[in-house]
Amino acid sequence: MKRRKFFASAAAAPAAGALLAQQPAPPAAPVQGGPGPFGRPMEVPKLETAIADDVASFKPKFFSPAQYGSLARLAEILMPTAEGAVGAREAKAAEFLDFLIGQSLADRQQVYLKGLDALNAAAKQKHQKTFDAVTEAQALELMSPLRKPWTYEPSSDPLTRFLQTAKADVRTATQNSKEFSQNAGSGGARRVGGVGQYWYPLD
Amino acid sequence: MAQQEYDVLIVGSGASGGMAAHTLTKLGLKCVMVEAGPLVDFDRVRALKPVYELPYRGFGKPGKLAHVFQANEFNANQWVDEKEAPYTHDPKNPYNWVRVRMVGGKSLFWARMSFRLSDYEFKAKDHDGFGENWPISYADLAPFYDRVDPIFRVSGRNEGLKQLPDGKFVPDESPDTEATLRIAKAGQPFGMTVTKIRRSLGTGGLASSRNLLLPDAIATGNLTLVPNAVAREISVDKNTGKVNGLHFVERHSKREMHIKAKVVVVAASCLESTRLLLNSKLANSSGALGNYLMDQAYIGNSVVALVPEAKNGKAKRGMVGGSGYIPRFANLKSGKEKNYIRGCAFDFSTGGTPDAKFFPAWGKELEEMQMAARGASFSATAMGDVLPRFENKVEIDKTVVDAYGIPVLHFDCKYTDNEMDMMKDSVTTLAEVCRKAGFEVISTNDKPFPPGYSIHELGTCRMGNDPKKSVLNAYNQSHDIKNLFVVDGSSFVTAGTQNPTMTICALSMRASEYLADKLSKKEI
Repeated sequence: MKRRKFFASAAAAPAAGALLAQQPAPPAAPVQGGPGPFGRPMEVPKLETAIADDVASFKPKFFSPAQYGSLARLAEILMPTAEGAVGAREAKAAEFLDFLIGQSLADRQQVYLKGLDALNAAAKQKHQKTFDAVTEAQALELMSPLRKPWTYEPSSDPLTRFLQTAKADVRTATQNSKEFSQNAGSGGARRVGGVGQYWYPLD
Repeated sequence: MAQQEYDVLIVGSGASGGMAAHTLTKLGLKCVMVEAGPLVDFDRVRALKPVYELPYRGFGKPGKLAHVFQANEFNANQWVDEKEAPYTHDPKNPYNWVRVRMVGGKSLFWARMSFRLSDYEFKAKDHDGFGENWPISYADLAPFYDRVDPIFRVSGRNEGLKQLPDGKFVPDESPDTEATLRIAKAGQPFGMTVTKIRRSLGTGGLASSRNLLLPDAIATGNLTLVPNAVAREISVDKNTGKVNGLHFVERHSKREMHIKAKVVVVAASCLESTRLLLNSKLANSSGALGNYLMDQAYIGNSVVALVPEAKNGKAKRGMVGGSGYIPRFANLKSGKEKNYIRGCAFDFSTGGTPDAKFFPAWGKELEEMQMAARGASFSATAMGDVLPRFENKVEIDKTVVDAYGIPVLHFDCKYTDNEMDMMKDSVTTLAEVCRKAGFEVISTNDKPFPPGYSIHELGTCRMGNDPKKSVLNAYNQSHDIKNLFVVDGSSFVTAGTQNPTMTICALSMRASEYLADKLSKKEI
């Protein structure tokens, strides 16, 4: 019941970040009902369902173990788990990005592959370890390119470009996860990760 | 069943086609309208979903709609599928062609910004010497704007600005915020003025051909609307040389069909109209068809700033919030005050929260920075006037066809130094104005997105008095074929900075009344 109330209240509010500015939606029609056999109204109970992430795990397979380990570490620093809230770890952001980037076009894949390799190379050069194994202070120092102002023209430095891309992607992957959306401490229902007007394929 | 011959065939059901149908049917003409897409039942095709139920958590399916930056995973299916209807361009010169195929067209989704062109656009050559004038002036079109505004219920505030003519507005009497007044004051030395955004209110939450134009046309009993009809080629009577109908493909069955009419009005949206004419090998004795492609150079978040007094939740009532519009402010005197010609306009909003990317931080620090900035932002979108150049063009790509076997368009279009210099100067100027207003500028961007991004493609079938330089006359009528009209944005001679829908509607209404008059006099 709580979940239904959440959807109802979210439907009345703009889906921040989910939809571009466009025409306001007319009121949604009831899902149930309609004529059934012999012209009688048909009542179909609405069933609660789960999503795949609720019941199954996903084995990362796009990135190498070293790349994936560093991405997971980076994700947890970019979106840490605040007390009582959901961060990148709980949202399985790195796992999701392994899937997403694995499906993506080559140029986007290269941003990640070159960037993660550059991050690990920098970590090895300075600390003789891959990024996932360095200390917190060392990790923050290696992420210093993120202190540069963001520019619309992608940086020519593979590490800077990757870190800026990953910052945005990890954030979205986390905030749009079910874990984040349904965790009151994350504010998921109020911010990103809310409800939007989905268009089915047109006939 | 015998095939009926209609008075007028209208290709396309968006703003321009809808206005043609609205006008022609009320004048008693029997019209048939074909639309490439379906008549969408909004209750059936849309549903509220949480983002986590989408397969890609809102990122969208990678590679789908690569040119539609406006697409997201929620709305991906509302845009034309580029596999079904592809187009080509040199990878070095991308063009973002954003299309909608359903009854109502893009008017279902537009931002509703409702401005008029001025004689700075209609008589641009007189002002700065570049290109051609339109064959009409603002005075010719003003009476039609005056009739379009009430249909769309345009809200706004009359200001008496020469570069942004007033309208028949639903008065916007909301007070300007303190932030807006500060921008207006700081912008004065730069020739800037600030006004309310002029926006179509429509009715029932929608301001579209679908609800404002087509229902009235159908109610006359004079409009037959045919969805799912993909135009292939306009047919010609070999004896008279006049057009006499349309070959189209029924979208579901892919049956090849033909429909007959005395007059053809092409309103398929700018580039689909030109594609149809090019594929039909019609109306191009001038050689101008497909050329002079324009749009508006577009930069979202061109200037992002913070209003310091509004940070940390300290905004007082009336300090920030809402939106505003800065009409073109450059080259309004001699036309050549800058190192470029023409100019740029901005729309802006205040009171939001800047995106996380604008803060050089992450984790808790980022959250705190965003929290402090919540409700304190100023963000402006730049829209620059793109010059009409012959070399910016579309042509038929003979090597590629769409899902219906119809040859597709190849784009050859790029911005030049004039657009780049204009955007750079305009953004620099606005950033300076923001600083003088006491705002903290946190990001600027003066590089426009690829051509097409604004979804304001214009030109390629332009009007003109000289049949050797233009495709259409002053009434959107083909110079070559008197019973052929093109009434959408393809007819524009200059682009301007103003969103074009109101001008498209006014032109369509004007052309339709001319058409009806000439048809009644048997002069077509």
